[in-house]
Amino acid sequence: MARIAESDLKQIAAALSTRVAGAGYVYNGDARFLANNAAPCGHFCNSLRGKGARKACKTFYQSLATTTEPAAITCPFGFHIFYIALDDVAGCPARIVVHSYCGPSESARLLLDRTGSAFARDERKRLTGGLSEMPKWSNDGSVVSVLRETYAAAVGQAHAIGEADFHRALEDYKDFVASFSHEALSPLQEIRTSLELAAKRLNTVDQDSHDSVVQAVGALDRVRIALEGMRLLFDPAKDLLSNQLIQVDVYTTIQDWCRIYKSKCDNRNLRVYYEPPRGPWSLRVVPQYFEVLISNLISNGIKYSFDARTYNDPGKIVFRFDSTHRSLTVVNFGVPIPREDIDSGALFELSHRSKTAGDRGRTGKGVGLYLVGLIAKLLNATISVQSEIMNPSGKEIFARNEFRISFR
Amino acid sequence: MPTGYKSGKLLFIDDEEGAVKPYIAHLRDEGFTNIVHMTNVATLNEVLQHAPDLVFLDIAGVGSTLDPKDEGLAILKYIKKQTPWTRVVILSGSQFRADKAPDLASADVCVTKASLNLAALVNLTEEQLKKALAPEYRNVRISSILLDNIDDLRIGWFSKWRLRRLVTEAMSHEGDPSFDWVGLAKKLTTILKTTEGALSIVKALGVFGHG
Repeated sequence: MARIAESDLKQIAAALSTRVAGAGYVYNGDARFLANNAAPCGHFCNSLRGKGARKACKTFYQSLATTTEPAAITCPFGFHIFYIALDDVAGCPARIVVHSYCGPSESARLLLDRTGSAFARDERKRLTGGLSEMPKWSNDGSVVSVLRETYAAAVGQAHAIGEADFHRALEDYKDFVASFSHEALSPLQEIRTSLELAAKRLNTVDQDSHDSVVQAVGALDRVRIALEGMRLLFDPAKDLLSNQLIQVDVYTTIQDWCRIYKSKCDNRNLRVYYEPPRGPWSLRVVPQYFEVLISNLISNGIKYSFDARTYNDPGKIVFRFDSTHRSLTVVNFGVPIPREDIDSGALFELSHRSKTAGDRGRTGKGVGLYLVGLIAKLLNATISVQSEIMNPSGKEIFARNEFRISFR
Repeated sequence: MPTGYKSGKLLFIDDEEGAVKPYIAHLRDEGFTNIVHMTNVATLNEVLQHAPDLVFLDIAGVGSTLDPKDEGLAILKYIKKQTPWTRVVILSGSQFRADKAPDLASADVCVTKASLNLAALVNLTEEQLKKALAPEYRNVRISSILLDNIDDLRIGWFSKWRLRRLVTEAMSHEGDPSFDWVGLAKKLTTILKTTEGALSIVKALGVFGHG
């Protein structure tokens, strides 16, 4: 893996605005840029409804400012931590890691213990899959999945804390997550645009260093879109304004996201095909929602494609654009989608996992396609799904899966 | 795109300098040289003194001294009232909430900062500047403003009838650069030259060249 030279990093750091550089923390691969951003901190804390949540949040930021150790936020029913760090930029790979931790808060645990309700305990265990018993650090970057698990833990504990308290706490929790994603997005975007600008201007550095900066921009995009997804998940937009729709180059968006997921494709020996192979493909959409939709379709396509490493020819994922009918089709070959899930529409429900979702070591979370469905609805688009088994008599059955989104 | 549009005046109103600095630097690299950045707005007149063609406006944090409740939205309302032909792009870090929808609807575009990469910024700026300056867009917008106000103008019924015909014809040529926009501006000026208030609108009619 290429390393960025010290002198190049200084150029990048110089290109970063004073606020983002905050200062040198990003450069040092430290997470404290979030904490040093005093304005969002205040705004963020104030935007939370619950007094306790505000206090906890403030403590979180303050502790981030004074230590490099991860800090914690005690949520109404979950012990929940996030921080985002540019991981080891100086040594490269310049990737972004979202650290998170979740487990039961002390108060929730006490409540559970006090009630001694076997039902509550069993329910929690069922919903969390024993998560609360196994607090652990995860750095797989999967913010949404961690959130979903915490959310499930919250639902499990609702039985113990009473319905009224639960709904109040749930609103606080949603508010908290929506605010967090909002506040995290601002500095992320500043870093992203600064890096993008630096990458454009870094003509003197070698290709490897340049690629590393571009890679960092791609990594930031993944976090950015994960946070956008999170914002949608916890604070879904009800309606769109017509002036939110802007012309987006579909071809470039898909290409960019395929580039970001290239290593995942390579891991399964998959290749992406575009039909027709060049633009113009354009649609009027809300750009960030469209990116969430595309990134989820791609990651879903990769996740449920068969592993073609043992084959001579690569497997394929196809993006087809029909400008006449304004439809976008994604085709992959792999795990079949059960017919009943397609017919009932359950495929696009939150937390739904098809009975085949766990096949061959895959771990679906029931969030990606839910977001795809949510965004399609917001954009007034319709989705049709087809899954056709290609080798009914084969040892390992695989299907041709097609998701077609028709925009209005 | 003709280079003429790139000389259009851009005004960024955003309290977060770090957020817009890379945008401005990139737009300058791309040849948009006429850019002003305001971190706050003390008086509304300040905004129009810059005579912007396109405004990138943040909602939260700017204009809070003018209107602590509406903040940037108060600036949007002022611009759209005083110079409705000025294009305004709301560039916000926040989601666009349903309770603000009536106010936000008067903006030309609402976009979140997190969704705007540098290439998208340039495309958006080019598209909006073209609509702000090209006569085939700018004049149509001004015509529609005139059409809404014809009944209130102090002119005779025949002038009103002629005016209505002219602006309706202009509106049917939206996006058509071959239409005689200079001729239209002259005819409108003749009809409205004695009408106070209306003439200032006509003066704003764009006869911007394509060079």
